[in-house]
Amino acid sequence: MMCSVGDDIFEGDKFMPTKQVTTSKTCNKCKTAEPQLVLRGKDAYCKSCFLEGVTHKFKSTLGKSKLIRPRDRVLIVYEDNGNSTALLHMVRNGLNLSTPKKLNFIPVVVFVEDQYHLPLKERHNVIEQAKEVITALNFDLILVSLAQYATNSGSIDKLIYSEGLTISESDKDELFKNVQTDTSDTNKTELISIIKRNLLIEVAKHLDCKYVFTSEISMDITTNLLKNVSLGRGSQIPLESGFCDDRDTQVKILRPLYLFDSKEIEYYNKYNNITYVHARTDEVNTYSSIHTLMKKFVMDLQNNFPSTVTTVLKTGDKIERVKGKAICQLCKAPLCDNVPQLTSEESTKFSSLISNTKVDFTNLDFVDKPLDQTDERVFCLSCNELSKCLINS
Amino acid sequence: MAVLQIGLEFGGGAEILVGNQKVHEISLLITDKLWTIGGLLHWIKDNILKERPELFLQNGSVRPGILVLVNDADWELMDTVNYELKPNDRIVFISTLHGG
Ligand SMILES: [Zn+2]
Ligand SMILES: [Zn+2]
Repeated sequence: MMCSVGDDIFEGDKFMPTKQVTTSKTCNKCKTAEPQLVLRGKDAYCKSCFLEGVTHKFKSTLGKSKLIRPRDRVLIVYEDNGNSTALLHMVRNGLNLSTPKKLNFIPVVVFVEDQYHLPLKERHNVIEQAKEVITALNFDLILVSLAQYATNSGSIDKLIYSEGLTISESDKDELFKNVQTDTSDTNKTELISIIKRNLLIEVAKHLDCKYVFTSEISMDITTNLLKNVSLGRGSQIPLESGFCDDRDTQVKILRPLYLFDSKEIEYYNKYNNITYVHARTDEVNTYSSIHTLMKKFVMDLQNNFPSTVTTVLKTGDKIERVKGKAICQLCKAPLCDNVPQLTSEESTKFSSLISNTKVDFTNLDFVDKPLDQTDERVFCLSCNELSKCLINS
Repeated sequence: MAVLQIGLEFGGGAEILVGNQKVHEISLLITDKLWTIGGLLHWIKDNILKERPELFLQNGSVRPGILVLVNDADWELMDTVNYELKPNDRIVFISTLHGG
């Protein structure tokens, strides 16, 4: 459900100028047709220029990367929302073209069942609706249960279904059975997203896909970026908040919609008569986790100062990638090595050293020494905290 | 009595606020006052908004993040709440506030 109002914490912006509404009588692009919609609070477009612009942005996002080669296999992640439905349509349109601009990869669509906030019957409905949407677009669909994946150490091929995926009321308990009961919502959400990412990589490898497409839009990317900063995952921003997550050597996760905003997606769906069923989302308290709080914050930014969301997004794009040989065993991100300045990881260690040892402050020798003499780290800073929520790990 | 017939559509999760029904064909009584979208929003609040009106309406308009289309066009091009409704208009409300 949508979040509630009355959060005056974000309402200190009354002095800022309000959105300027365009008075333009013709489309910004073709300069002839009557405009139908306004983007970024100022640019007016007619329907056909808008749709052309969307297709162009999608193609150039994929094309600029020069990653995908003809006949490469791509795993596309379907979720029951407008963004991923739009993504599937854009891909289908691109594959169906008969011009040289035709997309040339081989798609497989995956739906990961993790709708634990819904009653069992509604979860079954969501699966059925996913099947309908995806077969109508002429894609092959596979189904995987997040809970089964998290609790089975066996081979992934036994967990991939095209029909007859079993789901049960106890899936959520199963998923969290190795997680301490007092784990915060923030940490649970982190764990789920790490498990999900690992699942997608494994499924992609099993199906011989070199790429995974996910459907995050600009607001999701910005939310994720700010979330990562606040959870001490700053070094992972280039992986999680750009177009490409290449932490795995074989499978890259690509986000073809990362430059789109929600208005563009909704109008794209509307003008193409794309209907999608919006399953009820979890009715959560905005303050229950860092994730929901950041989401609310970015949503307010998007509504009041849309260009700020883009600015944060572009800043994220400029952050340099971390190079390191060692890899975090949980989130698989590289662990930073040879860091010239003090990172949040080291400053945390430093402060814990300060607070846990009786330090002779006249002798601060240890500051100059590397805090890790040998690299025995198993987890990144943030996952190190997360790992404490896991039982028997 | 004279009525103004229009169609309303709700999507993106906004339908959940109006009894989980996406399409509403409605008749508005014509009085001496012209019907604007602003007036329509009040009508929606009084007649079909089933729960938590603050999730749909704020400060005399729709809540920021809910898109409004008048016959497929953005209401920002139509003077928003001041737009005068015409017979058979289709007004679409799409929520972009999924989750959280
Ligand atoms: Zn045009
Ligand atoms: Zn990690």
